[in-house]
Amino acid sequence: MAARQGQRRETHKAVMWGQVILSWLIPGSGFVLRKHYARGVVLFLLINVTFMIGVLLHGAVVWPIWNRHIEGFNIVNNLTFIIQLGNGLLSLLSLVGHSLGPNGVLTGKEWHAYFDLASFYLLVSGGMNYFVVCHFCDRFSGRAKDKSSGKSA
Amino acid sequence: MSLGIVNILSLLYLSMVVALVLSISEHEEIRPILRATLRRWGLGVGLLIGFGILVYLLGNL
Repeated sequence: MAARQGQRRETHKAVMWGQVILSWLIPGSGFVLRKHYARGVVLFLLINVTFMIGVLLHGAVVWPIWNRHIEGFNIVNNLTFIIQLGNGLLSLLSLVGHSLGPNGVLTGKEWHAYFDLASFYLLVSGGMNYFVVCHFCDRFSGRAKDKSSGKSA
Repeated sequence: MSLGIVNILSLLYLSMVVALVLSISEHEEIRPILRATLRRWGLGVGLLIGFGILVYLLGNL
């Protein structure tokens, strides 16, 4: 009995982590998987439309300089990069695409007048998805624990 | 469209997105979400404008 409960708890934990990672990759997907369709779709649209506006303004997720002894190192760029990765799949596509040069997908134009503003759109998009993922964890991890121990949420 | 207008519209849009995402996470019903969003948006834009005025005044001292 205890072993079965422990197994169920482990399964719930694995499912929860899978949903968290998917929620990071595709904003709002965690809520859709939990049958909160309206919330998931609205969050997906809000976060991804913001990201796409940033891309249309010639922005991209750019790999920063991590070595502080190299000229061009800027801690703000590094923090911006980390937060921009919050949008998961689109951010990764933008990062890889921009690295491939002008022929890649979702490339940016670092010399463009709107590039800084566009980076800000990507930053807000990423930051908001981090918040949504944390909210998803807070909302459903407690329920998962409660279900496995037999208590009501 | 000039860069200045684009920046002002971006300020309004991005603050609205942040307010909306925070409000959606807090509430379940549409009306409380909209009310919380408007309140947060107004507060956010007001604070940003206030900071902007402060920075402008300090820069012109």
